[in-house]
Amino acid sequence: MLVTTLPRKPMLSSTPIVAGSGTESLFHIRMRLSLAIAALLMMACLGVFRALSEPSSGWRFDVDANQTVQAIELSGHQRLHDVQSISGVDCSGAPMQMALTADLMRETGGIAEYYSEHQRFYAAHERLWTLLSCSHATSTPLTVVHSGGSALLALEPKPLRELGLRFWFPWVFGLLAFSVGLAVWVYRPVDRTASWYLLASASYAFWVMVVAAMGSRHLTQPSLGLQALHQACHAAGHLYLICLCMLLWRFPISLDRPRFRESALMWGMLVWATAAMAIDVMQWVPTINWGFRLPNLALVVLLALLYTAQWRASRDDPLKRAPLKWLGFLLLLTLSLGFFTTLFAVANQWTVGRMAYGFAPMSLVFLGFVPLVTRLKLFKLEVWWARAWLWFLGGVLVVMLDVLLVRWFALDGGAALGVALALAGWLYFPMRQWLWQSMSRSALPQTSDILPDIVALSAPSPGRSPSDAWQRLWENHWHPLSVRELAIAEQLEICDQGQSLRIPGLGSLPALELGMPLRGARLYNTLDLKRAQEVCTLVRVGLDAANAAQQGALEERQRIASDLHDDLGAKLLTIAQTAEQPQHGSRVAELARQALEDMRLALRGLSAGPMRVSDLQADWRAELMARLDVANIEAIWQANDAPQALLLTATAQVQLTRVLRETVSNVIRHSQAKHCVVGIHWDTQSLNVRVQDDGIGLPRLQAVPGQRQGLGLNNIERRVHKLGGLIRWESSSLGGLSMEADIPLHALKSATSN
Amino acid sequence: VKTALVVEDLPDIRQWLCDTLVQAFPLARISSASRVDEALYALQSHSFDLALIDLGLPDGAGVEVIRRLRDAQPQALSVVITIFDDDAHLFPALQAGAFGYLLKDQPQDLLVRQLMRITQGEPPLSPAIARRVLAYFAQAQTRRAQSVIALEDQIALTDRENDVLLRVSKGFTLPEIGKQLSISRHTVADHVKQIYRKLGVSSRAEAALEAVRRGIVNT
Repeated sequence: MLVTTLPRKPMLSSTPIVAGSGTESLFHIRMRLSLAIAALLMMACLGVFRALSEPSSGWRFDVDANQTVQAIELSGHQRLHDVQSISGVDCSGAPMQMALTADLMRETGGIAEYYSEHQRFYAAHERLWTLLSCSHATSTPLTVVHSGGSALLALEPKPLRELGLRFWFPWVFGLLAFSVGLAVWVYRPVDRTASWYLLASASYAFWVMVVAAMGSRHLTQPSLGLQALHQACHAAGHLYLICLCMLLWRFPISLDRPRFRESALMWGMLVWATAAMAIDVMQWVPTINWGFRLPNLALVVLLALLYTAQWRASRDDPLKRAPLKWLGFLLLLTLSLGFFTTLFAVANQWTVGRMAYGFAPMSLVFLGFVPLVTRLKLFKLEVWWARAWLWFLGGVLVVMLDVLLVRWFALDGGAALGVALALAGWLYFPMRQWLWQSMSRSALPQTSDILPDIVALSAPSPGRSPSDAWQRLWENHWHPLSVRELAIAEQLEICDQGQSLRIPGLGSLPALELGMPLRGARLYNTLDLKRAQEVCTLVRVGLDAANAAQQGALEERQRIASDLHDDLGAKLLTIAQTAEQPQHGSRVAELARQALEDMRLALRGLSAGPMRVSDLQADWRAELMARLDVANIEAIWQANDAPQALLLTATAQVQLTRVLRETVSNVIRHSQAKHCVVGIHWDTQSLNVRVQDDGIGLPRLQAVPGQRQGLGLNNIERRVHKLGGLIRWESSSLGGLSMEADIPLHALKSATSN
Repeated sequence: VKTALVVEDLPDIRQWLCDTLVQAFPLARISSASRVDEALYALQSHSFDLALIDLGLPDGAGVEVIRRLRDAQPQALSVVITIFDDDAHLFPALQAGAFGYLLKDQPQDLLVRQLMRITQGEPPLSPAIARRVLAYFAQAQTRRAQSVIALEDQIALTDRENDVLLRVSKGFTLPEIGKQLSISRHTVADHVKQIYRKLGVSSRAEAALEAVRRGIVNT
């Protein structure tokens, strides 16, 4: 047995899955857990309190299709169109009026490009808040002037039920992300990546909470900190990316270098973010692009660079490459979500309550992180990863085309989306096909390539052991790091997180365990499993067929052997004995000719395939008629039409031919008949053969001593019985002997006849 | 029959066949050969009216001798002598131009009678061989329909020949067929003779056609 001894890679040291050091007491974990729950509750309450701080008039303000402000009743479906202004009192009790414009209904001030516009937005909202909160404090109703006149709206504290989906949706997602971050921190506190992860989730959660509160406002939010909150969100956006960068510095491989350490990266990024925030807060540049978006984008570029570095570092290490692939997909997905949401919001000047739907699913990166931390079936994710990529690319293509069409070809939204979908379909599906094929071909062995080895395995050649061929089959196509024979493997399965593949034994072939495929360059995944399953099935089918063929050949050989023994052997023996008596020369010649005929028939049984009954019957007719004719016996042939589709096996052909031939030979040799009637009758179940003559008949034949044996009646009887038939001799109505045999068709029929 | 050739590798059988020929044609001059190359050599120097040719020869197939004899001496009758009378063995020889076949293991007097019949233009035709011939001509028909170059018309069987062949394939003897078709036994035998001739001619023509086709492809 050949055991491949390839250089085996050292088993990759994997960090423990749950909990850090054993010395850590339960107390510490509990304490952290309590802290985490408290933080989570705080975050949850923060969002709710912030959203509820706005007094409610029972109406919400939005922009209608004509870009004018409208008020929508929350309980009913009443609307006030073309709202021009709103009035109430300020905190000194003096009446106060404010014009309402569509600009004020934007999601945030940040949607505008210039800081000057931000200033105007937040200043206006500050005044709105004064109006709203002072009117509420003095219980003064708001007066809304609209196209149809004016309306009075009473103010009350906002009830919880008015928060709606636009609040709860991002709220839930934010808390989910935060709780995952907290959970990782609780159970892996020593791991510094966990801390970065927690910080990332916290900054994301904070940001989403603000978005939730802002997006769910009816009119405005508390003035104190509205702009400050906005800027805090920017800070959180930077911090989020910084944390992800720090994470990628350590995960899955530490990128620490003697000359460049983690701390250097951290401080570098912090300085960068602080500088950016200073510019943002102080508004030293005219637009938010320079103050926030570009510095933020720079961090994204840094993240991409770090990812590339990780990719290079993990090129020989499939165990680390697998989570990296998955993480890369998650990052790209979430960052694109953020990018496209911002892009759309700015391009379409989104009004209140929409951004949350784009930002909330970004928490997926945190949920998707769970399998990375727990190392849960990463080899399965690897297959997933490729599919997810293709799916994602398709989506991106649609969005890009849509934006392109709207911006540059000035199509309206609906048409643009339709065209974009169609174009993406035409471009994307062929591309996906190509990508998928090239991706799967590069790594996975193709069945068509393996097939020759499978065929070779099921057609064993001498001098090559099947188990060697079996082992070589896996070696040649998967190039595993090692191949080990196992005593037993219950089923085909991937073990050690994709590092090995177990193949159950098939018949005499041993069970095997294969090390990492492609000489350790990748892990086994579910596609490998599927392919290996196919191979095993094909090998099993091949082996079964080979066994059946061997069995068939064996049975055929036994049949021929028994033919030779029963017929040829017996005749040659008789020839040998008869030849010793010189006076029997002609008898010897006759026996030898019969032996030759037997051999011819036996050979026909060897070489011939199934034969149509009508053809066989024609052969019989020609032969028997000719022989009877030569012997000067008048032959009468009585046969019904043979069933057209009936095919007889070679054995049946040979045996039936012998029965007829020997019976007719007896008639010619011994009966002294003048007439012979040969009757063949086929029906659906059986074949009836009858040979009658008007010769001397059975009683007189049997009177001659030893004649029965010489007549070969025993032989005829044996053959008919072998075919499962019945035979009887009796006196013929013609006066001589009659032989009649009934043979069931099922024993004669070839499997191919219908 | 004035000159005859026996091609057979077993000396005893060869002698026995020569004896049989002498009995059938007492005046004939008989040559014998035991190998393909000897037979081909004999063909160069002598002309023959009749040749008995065994199919399994030590240095090649007897079919080659039959083919050469047909090409070099079209008037000669080639008769296959064999112990295997199945169509798989015989059909190639018949296509190469053999005019009938004889089973070696028959009594000499029967053999003499059959030999006389063949030389008188009444070759044997078993149902199995008739079926092969029918199938061959049916295929030739479709091949001709597809072929660019037309073969001569004479290679197709006449309706009557087809009829005879069909009846032989069903196991009827020649006298029976004569009775069924209300023609003399000799006319039936003539048809059989024509069938043999056309089988040989057709296969030769097709071989030539195939050569031409290959030539066209090659140039």
